[in-house]
Amino acid sequence: MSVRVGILSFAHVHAPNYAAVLGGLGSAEFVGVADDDADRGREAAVRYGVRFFETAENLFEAVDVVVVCSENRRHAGGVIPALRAGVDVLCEKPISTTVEDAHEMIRAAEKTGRRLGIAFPVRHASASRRAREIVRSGAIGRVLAVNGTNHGQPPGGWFLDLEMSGGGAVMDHTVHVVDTLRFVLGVEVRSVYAEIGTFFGTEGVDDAGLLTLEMEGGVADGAFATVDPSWSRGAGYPTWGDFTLRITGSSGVLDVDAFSRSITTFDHESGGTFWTPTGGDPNALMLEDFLRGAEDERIGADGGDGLRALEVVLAAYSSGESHAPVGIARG
Amino acid sequence: MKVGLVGAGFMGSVHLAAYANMPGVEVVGVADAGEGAAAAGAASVGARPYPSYEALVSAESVDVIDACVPTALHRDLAVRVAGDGKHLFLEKPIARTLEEAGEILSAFEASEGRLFVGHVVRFFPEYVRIKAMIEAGDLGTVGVTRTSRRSPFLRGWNDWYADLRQSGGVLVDLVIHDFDFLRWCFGEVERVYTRGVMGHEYNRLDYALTTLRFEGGPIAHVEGHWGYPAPFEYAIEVAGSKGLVTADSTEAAHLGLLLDTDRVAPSVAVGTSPYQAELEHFVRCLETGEEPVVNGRDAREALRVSLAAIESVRTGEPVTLGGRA
Repeated sequence: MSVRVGILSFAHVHAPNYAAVLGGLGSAEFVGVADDDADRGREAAVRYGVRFFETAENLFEAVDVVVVCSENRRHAGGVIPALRAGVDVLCEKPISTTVEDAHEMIRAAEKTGRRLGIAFPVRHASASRRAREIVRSGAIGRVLAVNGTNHGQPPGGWFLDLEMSGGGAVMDHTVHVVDTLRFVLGVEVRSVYAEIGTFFGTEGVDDAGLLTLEMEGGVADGAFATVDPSWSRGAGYPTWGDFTLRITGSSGVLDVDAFSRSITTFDHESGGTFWTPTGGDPNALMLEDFLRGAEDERIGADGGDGLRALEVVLAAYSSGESHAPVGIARG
Repeated sequence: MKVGLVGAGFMGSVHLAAYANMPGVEVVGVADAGEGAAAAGAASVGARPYPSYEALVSAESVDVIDACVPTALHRDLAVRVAGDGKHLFLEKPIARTLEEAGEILSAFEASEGRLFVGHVVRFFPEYVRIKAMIEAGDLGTVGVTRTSRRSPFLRGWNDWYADLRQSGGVLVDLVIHDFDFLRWCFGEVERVYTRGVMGHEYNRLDYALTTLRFEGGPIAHVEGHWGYPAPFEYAIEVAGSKGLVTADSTEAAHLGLLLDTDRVAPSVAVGTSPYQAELEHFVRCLETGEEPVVNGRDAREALRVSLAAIESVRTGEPVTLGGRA
């Protein structure tokens, strides 16, 4: 039995990729799209050969699962009605821009008994899952430190509108690294120090940062990790960015490169150079995981995981102002 | 120009090999407390061996002392060289403490001799090129720089690297290369925040990650690893508003050399070695009177950043630098 899936809003740049993946999944039937920007929604519906729903409520009535790809600020406004309509929700990251919204979303999932997942594809990457096994096997000894990056290119549109995005590069990318650290190492973040800036021509929000996290629990209790979430790649870069962790242990080093430059293409017409990873599309692995029936086989992030990542980001912005480490009170 | 080399360990032997390629420079004596090291170093360049600096300068007429001794010995030796009115090529770091560095600078202010400190990364061709690109504006406004320097654990004379009080650990001995290079590119450091495993008594392992904020605005992430389970590696990435440049010693080497030993010099681009380029530059400065690209004050300021990083590791707080001379 295939699961009926809809996409609410094509505001986020990841929506087209999810739509393409859904169209090719045997386990899912991509039913349709709703969007508060009707032109954008209709265009997407036409492109993927699915139905456009005039309202979100109409979409919720027609599906089992909805993927919410609205602007960060609008996540709660889409997720909570969907849960109440009896639909399981996979919400684009970050879970929200405020802790209050995140709590309301998590409570709504608990009350309705529906599932709230957060779209953290990197934990699904084959490199992340294998790294988790290697680290937990004790192969590199006690984990002492992690040097992490999630670089990208500066996006446009609402990503640069602080009201809609909740922040720039630090909001956009830190959550991926925090979630993957929590997944791979089984840690929580105790405190964060951050230097944040705007350098790469972005207006309105930060486009660079360097964060240092102190971790507790898991196999890395007391270890530290740095995160570079900067939008420091430009149009000339051979790919969209990167996701890397260099995990240093007391008896070895493990380098994780979730989107490694496995294939390099030199395009003679455009003069461009392009890197393409191999090893499976983490977005497809994530969607399959969310749509899979068996609860105990799932490894995807839930609302609580989304909240943990958001708390670190908000503390990082606070540290960026105070120039002091900021402790994280997990709510 | 007559050179006396003091300290014929690993770096001393690298310098001796460089002098052998430099016409007009003659190494006349090699001093080392270890008889075998002195003899082997001296034989490699046709010089005479001596058991100490004092023995070398009382027997030989030298213009320059090249000191490649453990860091904790820098101050005493440098002050004596200055007092003897000779020039000094001093291996980095300038000293173990700012007080010692200040004494060395003062001693050379009052001396006929001139002081040069071997921050050799300023002579590595990739770094020279990247500095020139930044200066020319090729990268636009620089925002985030990332550097990495990863080395097997060194076993020096009497295992002095393993003694934090003598060596200062990875931040004072290794990461100082990147702190110096970054100061060269971006000016003074405003804030330092570092986490490291220093003092955790791991067996021959020191690892630290540093965030720097420069007074001019840019930020930098600096990784240093002593005890890396592979040959020496370094990398740099500079991201600006107009472009991004990277160099990585593990990629695109003209020559690759792996040795079954824990004393591995970085494999470098074909051509003049950066160590030779550094020493040739110092010799030229002595001949022409020109200022070196890295002076004693630069060396002291790089040490100041390293020591601030150690303080940050100890306190868990950022260290704001200010009130520099």
